Amino acid sequence: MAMGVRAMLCVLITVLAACSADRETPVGSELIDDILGSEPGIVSVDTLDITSDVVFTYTTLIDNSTRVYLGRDSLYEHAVVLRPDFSTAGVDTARTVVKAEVRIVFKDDGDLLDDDLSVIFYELGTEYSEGDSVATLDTLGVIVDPTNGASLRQMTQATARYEVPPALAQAWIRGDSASNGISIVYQGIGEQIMRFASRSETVGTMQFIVNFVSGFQTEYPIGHDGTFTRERTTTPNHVVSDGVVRRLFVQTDLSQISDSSAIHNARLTLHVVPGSIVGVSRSLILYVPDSTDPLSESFLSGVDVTSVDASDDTEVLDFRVTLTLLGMLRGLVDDNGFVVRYASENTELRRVEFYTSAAAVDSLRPRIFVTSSTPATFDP
Amino acid sequence: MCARSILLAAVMVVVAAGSAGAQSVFNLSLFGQRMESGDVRAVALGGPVQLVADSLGVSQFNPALIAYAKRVTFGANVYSSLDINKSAEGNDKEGSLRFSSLTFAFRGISRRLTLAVGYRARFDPSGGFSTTKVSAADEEYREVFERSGGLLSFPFSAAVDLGSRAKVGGFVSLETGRITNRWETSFTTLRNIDAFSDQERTMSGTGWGLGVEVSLAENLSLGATYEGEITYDTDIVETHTNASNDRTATEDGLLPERWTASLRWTISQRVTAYAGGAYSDMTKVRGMAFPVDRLHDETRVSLGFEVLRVMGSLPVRLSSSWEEFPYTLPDAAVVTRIAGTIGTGWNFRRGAGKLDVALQFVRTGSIGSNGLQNRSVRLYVGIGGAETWSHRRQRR
Repeated sequence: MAMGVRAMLCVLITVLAACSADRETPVGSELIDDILGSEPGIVSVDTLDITSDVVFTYTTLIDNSTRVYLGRDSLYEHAVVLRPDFSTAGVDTARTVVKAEVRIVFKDDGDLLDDDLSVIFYELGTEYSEGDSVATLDTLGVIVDPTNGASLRQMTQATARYEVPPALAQAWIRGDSASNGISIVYQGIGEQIMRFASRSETVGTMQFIVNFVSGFQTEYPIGHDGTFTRERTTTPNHVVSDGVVRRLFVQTDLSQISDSSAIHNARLTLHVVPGSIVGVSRSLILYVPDSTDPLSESFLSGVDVTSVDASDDTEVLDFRVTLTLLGMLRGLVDDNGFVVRYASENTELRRVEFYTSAAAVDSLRPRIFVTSSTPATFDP
Repeated sequence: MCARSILLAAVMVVVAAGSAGAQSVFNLSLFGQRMESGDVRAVALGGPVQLVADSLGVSQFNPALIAYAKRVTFGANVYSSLDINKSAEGNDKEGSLRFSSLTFAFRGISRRLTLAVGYRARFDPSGGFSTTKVSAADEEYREVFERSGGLLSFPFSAAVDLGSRAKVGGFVSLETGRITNRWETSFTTLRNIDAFSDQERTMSGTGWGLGVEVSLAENLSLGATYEGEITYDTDIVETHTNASNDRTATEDGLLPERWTASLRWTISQRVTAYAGGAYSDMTKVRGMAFPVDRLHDETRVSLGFEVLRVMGSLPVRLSSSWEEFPYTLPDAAVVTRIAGTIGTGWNFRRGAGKLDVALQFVRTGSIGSNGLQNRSVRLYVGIGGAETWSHRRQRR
C-alpha cells in the first residue's frame, strides 16, 4: 500500500515539474473589455513645452596655462591681460621714472604667423586678478607708445620690450592711479595667433621693467595674467562653449504632467546645428542648478544629472532626466530647470550650437519628452 | 497506519501550500473558478453534488454525510492541474497544485451526533497574462496582469444520524479570502522605470448551510443541501507607483445561496449510480467590480457510476458533469464546462484508511462561442483515515 502512495506522489510531482508556468502569454487579455473587472493604465508620450531656454555667458580667462596668447582664430578673438605687481615698490615710490617697459617673451609653438601682429595696449578700468571672470574688456584708454605717440604697435616674433608712458608707470608705482592691469588687443584682420610665456612658465616670464633717475632699475614681476577670449560672430542658435564659457539654461512647467501619472522615462532632447561641434573633449553634462538666477553664485553648482558625449556626426543629444524629474515632482529636487555645460571649462576651446525654441522647424526645437502611464483602473 | 496517513496528509499540505500557479483562463473573472472542494471519491463520481455513503468521506459537501463517520476521522484532498488555455492570440500551458480540503470529524456527545471542523477552498482566482506593446516613442513594453489569492471557508459542521432512513446536518462557516489584482507596465530597456497598480481585496464573512439524506428504499437515497447567501465585508486597498493614486475603500460583496439535489441508486451489489445537480442564482452576485448585466445562473448536473471489484478488489468510478458558468462571454454567450472523470480507490487497514485517486478531463468554453477555451487534466488525490478513540487510549 505504501508503494501505491509513493507512486501517486511521484506522479503528482512529475506532473508539476513538467508544467512550469509560462507568464509570457497574451491569453486572457481578451477579457479586459468584457469581464476582467479592471483595465490597465494607458502609456503615453507627452512633450513638455520649454518655457525658457537661454544661454548665459561666463567669460572666464583661461589662466592655468603656461601660455597667454593673442590674435584670432576661426571662432574667437584673444587678448592678453596682465597686471604688474608693485607691492615691492618700497623706495621706488620716491623715485622718478625715466622709462617703463613691458618685457614679453615670445614662444614659438608652431603657430602659423604671416607677419608681426598689430596691437593696441589698453589700460584696464577694473582690476584684474588671476582667475577672475571677465565679461568684457573694461578699458580706461589706450596706452600709447611714448616714443612716437602711436596707438598701434607691432608685436614681433621674438622676445621684446614695449614701452609704457613714464608718467603712467610713475602713477601706478606711487599709487596715484589704480594699477588695474594692461590688455593687449589684436587689431589685424587675419587669423593669426601669437603665444607668450605666462607667469606660470618656470623661466622667461613677462616683466615690467622700470628705469628711474640716477640709473636705478627695478624689474617688477607680472603678478596676474591671462587670455581674454570672446566670440567673433553672433548666431541665432544656442551656443554651449568653453573658452568663452557659455551654459544653456532650460526650464519647463512640470504642471503639464498629470498628477496621477507614473513616469517611466523622461529625456531632454537638443538638436545640434550641423557642423557646429568644434574642439576636443566634448563631454557635456546636465545639472539642476541650486538657483534659477544665472547671476547667482549658486547657479553655477547643483545636482549632477547625467552626461553625454558628442561626436562630429551627432545630430541629437538626449539627456536622460527620468529620476530627476521624479525627484522634482516629489519635491526631493528643486524645480530649477536644467543647465547644459561642458564637463571641463576653462581648459580648451570647444563649442556646440543647438537649435532654440524659436527655431523655424518645430521638430528641431528643444523638448522634454516624458513617457508616462495612468494608473490601472480597478472599477471601470 | 493512521499515523503514517496523517504524516502523508501533512506532507501533501506542505507541498500544496508551497505551490501555486495560474490555472484556467476562466479564473480571471468574478471570484475565480469554483473549486471541486471535496472528497476525491465524490469527485470521481461527479463532484460535490453527489451523495456518497462513506464513513471516511467526511470532506463531502453535504454536511449530513459526516454522520456516516463514527470514529475520529480525517480527510485531505489535493489536485494537480495541467491547463491549456487558448484564444485567437495563441495558447499557453500552466501547471499548478491546489490543496482543496481538509476535514476532521469526531463523535459528539451521542453516538448519533458527529461533529466536524475543516478547511474548504471555494474559489480559485489565480491567473495572469501579458501583452507586448510599443509606445509612441518606439519603446517596447509589456502590460502584465496577475491575479492571485483565493476564497476559503472554515466550516464547523454537525450531523445527526436518524437511523437508516435519514441523516441531517448543518454547518456554520467562517468565510475569508484575499484576491490580489496587479497591473504592471514593464519596459524591456533598463533606462525606463516600470509602474504597477495593485489592488488587494480582503474579504470576510460568515456562512451557513443545511444538508439531508433520506433513504426512500433500501437501494435508493435522496439528498439535498442548501447553502445560505454569504455577505462579504470587503476591504479594498489600492497601491500605485504614483502614491497619490493610492486609496482604501470598503465594499459589500454577495455570494448568493446555492441548492443541490442528489440521488444515489444502488443498482446491484457491484454497481451504484449517482446523479446530482446544483443551482445558484448568481445574477445576485455583488462586488468584485463585475458588470451586473453579464451575470448568469450557475447550474451543474452530474452523473456517475461506481462498479466494485473491477480490477481485483479495486473499484472503477466514472462520471461526467455539465456546468454553466455564472457569466456570459461575450455578451450573451454562455460558458459551459464539461468534465469526464475516471477514478478508483484503495481501502486499507480493514477500512480504517483509504486512498482515492481521480483523473479528470475538462473542456471549458470554446473559441467559437466564447473566444476563449480551456482544456485541462486534473489529477486528484485524497486520503482518509479513522481511528477509534477509546481503542487507541486502551492501547496506550
